[in-house]
Amino acid sequence: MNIYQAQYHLHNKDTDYYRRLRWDTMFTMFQEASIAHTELLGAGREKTLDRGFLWVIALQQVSIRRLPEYDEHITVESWAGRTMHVFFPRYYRMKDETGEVLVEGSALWGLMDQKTRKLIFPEEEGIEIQGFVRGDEPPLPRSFRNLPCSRSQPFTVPFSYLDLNGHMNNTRYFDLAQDLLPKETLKKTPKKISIEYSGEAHWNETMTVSVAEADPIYFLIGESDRRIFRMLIEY
Amino acid sequence: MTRQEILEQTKDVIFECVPELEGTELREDTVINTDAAIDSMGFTLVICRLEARFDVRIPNRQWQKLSTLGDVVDAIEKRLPR
Repeated sequence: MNIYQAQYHLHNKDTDYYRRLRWDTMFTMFQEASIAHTELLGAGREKTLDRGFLWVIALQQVSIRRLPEYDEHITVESWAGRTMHVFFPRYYRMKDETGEVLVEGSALWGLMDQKTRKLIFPEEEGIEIQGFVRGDEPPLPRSFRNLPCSRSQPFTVPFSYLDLNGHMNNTRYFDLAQDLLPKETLKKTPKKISIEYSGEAHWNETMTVSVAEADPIYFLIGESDRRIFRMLIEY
Repeated sequence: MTRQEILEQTKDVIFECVPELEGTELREDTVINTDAAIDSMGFTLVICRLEARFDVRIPNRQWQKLSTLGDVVDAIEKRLPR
């Protein structure tokens, strides 16, 4: 199966105050598609988690044409790109019932050794994912410049934000970001969201999250004794 | 392709992957594989993009030996078809 597909019917729990698909839910759908497809492609739990290798995301980005709304039926597609040494590129598309593309994006996944917390070279561990070239892949995520921040506040990682990898789940950063955006901005749907995960955020760790507002662009950076994440949101 | 061309394209890729470095002077003896310059994830991205740009493959084990910009250019130049 080269392209994985999953269908969703958006319920109350999936949507935000404005009845649109929640950002964290969107990224959770992409995450789940990635993991489910990886199992089918032969690089599942037995080869990874059970051997102490954890799937992590280094960079991801999405371009949004429209966020689906409450009660809509959507399809999420995902496929793997050609492995790049330590990175496993993955592509996503979200479509509505008519087949119109609502969101497309990509991520660079890696496998982290649970003990050393470093990315491994998968081919040295006998882990391989056959990449598929569809021909119309969204661009891979790129890094972006820091922007001068105008405000900062502390954020302490709560238990509810953790996942089985023992750190703050990649989707929770979007909750954190939205809670820091101005009220008027939250009414709007972003055109693009990019995020770089530089370090792990652990339970009870306090980071300083700084925000740059250069409407229509918002930049966030989270740091403690090292950089944890950076996010760029373009409206 | 000349070494100078490889060097300039390598610098372009570094600046694309690590925008914070844009505008800084990168010489062949500049140590780039450190947290002070490019962190480990950024370095991995740079190498992956360079491999795609030049259509070469630098073996995993060689990466630990790449410290300066000159080392990276050497690794690419060595693997380009003559």
